Amino acid sequence: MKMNHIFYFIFLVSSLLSCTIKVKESLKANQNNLVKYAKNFSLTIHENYICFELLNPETKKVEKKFALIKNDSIKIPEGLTPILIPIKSVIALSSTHIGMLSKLDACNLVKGISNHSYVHEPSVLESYNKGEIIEMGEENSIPVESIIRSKAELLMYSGFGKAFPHQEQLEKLGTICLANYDWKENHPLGKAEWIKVFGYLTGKENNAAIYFKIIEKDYLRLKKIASKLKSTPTLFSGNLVGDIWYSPAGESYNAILFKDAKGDYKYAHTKGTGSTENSFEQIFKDNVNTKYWFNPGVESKKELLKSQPKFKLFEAYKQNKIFSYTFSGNEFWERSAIEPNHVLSDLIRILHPELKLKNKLYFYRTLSK
Amino acid sequence: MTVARNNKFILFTLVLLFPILCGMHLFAGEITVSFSDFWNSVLNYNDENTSQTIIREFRIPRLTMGILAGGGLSIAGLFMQTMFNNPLAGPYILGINSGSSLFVAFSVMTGIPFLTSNLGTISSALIGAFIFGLIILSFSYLVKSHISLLLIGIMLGSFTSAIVSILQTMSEPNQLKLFTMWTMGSLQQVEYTELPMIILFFIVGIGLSLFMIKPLNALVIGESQALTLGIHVKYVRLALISITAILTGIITAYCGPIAFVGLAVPNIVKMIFKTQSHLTLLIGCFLIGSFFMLTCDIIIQVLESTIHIPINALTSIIGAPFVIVIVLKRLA
Repeated sequence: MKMNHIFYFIFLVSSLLSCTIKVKESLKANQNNLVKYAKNFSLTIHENYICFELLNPETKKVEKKFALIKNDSIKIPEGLTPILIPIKSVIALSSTHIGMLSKLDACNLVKGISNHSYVHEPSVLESYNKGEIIEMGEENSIPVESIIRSKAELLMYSGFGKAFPHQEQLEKLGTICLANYDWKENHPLGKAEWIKVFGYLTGKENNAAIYFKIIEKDYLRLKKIASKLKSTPTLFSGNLVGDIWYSPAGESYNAILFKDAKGDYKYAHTKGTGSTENSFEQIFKDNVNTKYWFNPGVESKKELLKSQPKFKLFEAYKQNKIFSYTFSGNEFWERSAIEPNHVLSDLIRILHPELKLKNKLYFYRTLSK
Repeated sequence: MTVARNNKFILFTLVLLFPILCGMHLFAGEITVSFSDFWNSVLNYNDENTSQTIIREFRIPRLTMGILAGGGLSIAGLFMQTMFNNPLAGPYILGINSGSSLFVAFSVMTGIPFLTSNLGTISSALIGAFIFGLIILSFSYLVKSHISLLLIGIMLGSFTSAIVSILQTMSEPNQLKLFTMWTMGSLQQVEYTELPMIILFFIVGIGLSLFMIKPLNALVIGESQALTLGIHVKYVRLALISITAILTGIITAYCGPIAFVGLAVPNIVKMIFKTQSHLTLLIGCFLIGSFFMLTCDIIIQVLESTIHIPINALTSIIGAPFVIVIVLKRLA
């Protein structure tokens, strides 16, 4: 009996000790984690390397681990793919990648893009016109030869749920493929936080950290200003695709922006981070008197009526309160992810004219006739 | 031009059921509206009242387009089947819808102001349907096999799809978006104020069809026999193509390409009425075509809270297996 007690005591103490050690390790990792808002990656500082963990946007499980190293003689644990930093060349397949590189003044590293007609950044267009940047085409149909020809060290792609075609062979040939899930981040600051990844990759981590701090501060300042306002104007968003209206779901990137701008978004109560579907009749019933309509995907009222003549029945149409970012499509896609403070500023300025904010509208414009 | 007694009874039953189905369609939507709202929306419209607006601007145009699209495409299909003496013919499979689509694609994606207007789109759809109708008619003189003609129709469809794909790669994103939306098909594009014009086009088409009943009945027994009965087959064919172009063009312009209705419904009508009298078949096609389309749209509205099905997809889901059944029956 006594022996049993002693055995249980030892077992209890060892279990507690192991738990404490695990908690301490986890705390240490959390303290090292440089990420605050983003949910689809983690960055942790280790003695000889930075560990960049790419998390699956759906399951949040680690999809791939990278060790960002400054010297290829550094030994790293097994299972990590080494990336020698700072990288000297990159294929950037999404507008947001170019936007983030641009903020770090690192567009000179770009050696490949998907399509020059989607690019706004003048320096990238200039290099493309000089023949220094190769146009690769759509992400899922890029010829391997073009990637090899570009001699890029890193290929950054959007990773729509699957690995890059011929990823293993490309990595053997010296081009590491890295999925960027910024587009799956729901929090506007989470999207912007991906600049930290670009910072470490390009050796400009301090610039990235400072830049992020500035926009974070500005975003939170604007959010605070909006939160103190009494009015919450009603708004809805999206447009018809066929007979279905897709609106941002209540926990999505857009819904968070609307909430932070102190707008009364009609579908804020819906679950999910993607979009919510409604019939046109339902949207009409819910929003016939809604004050603002955002992101209809067109630039003029004429185009809007061409796609569906019944839009003229909406109060937002009658009062000319429809706002779109498509006037500067490429610029919006490049800059909005990294400038969420400016997107929020636009929304606050539109929704709360009583504030009389002096700054201009960065992306949004009211629809032309 | 008489209708058999048994068929009279079926037609009478369909006519009686027709307003019931229309009523079901009007009140099937996700949003509940009352009968008084319906009356007021027609007789005493108040545009401040959301329920009345929903009925007047959404449901009445949708119901009307359902009736016209189902009835019109079925009649066009009947004409094609009699003209080419082929039960598998129809405006969609013979490439007439594709002609409309191609011309609408040109009109939407060129960006020329007149062509991008509503009138431009309708004219393009009508011209496209007429030209492709003439093309398929010309081919019908060259090939005698039914299957070959269908294959030519399918090839015309593939050809136009390829041209449309090229146009899409060259067009502006907004124009591309507009065209893509149009191809999805919808009964909700029409405004209440546009209904009189569309109904007028339709009445012209149906009115002209009534003059075609005798020649169509003659064509059933064969081209040479029709000639001996004093029918000018060439003119009749041209007239049939023109009517088909009017009916198909106007429907395609407003609703997008709708598949299989023009093929499946005339066959169903022939099975039900068991007659070659085109007066019966024409009325039957109009009624059963409208029934078919309205039923599809009621299903869509009932399922709307769970799943959103485009009208084009539902008509294909129901129509395609039906075509397979017809083919298998012919082989047996």
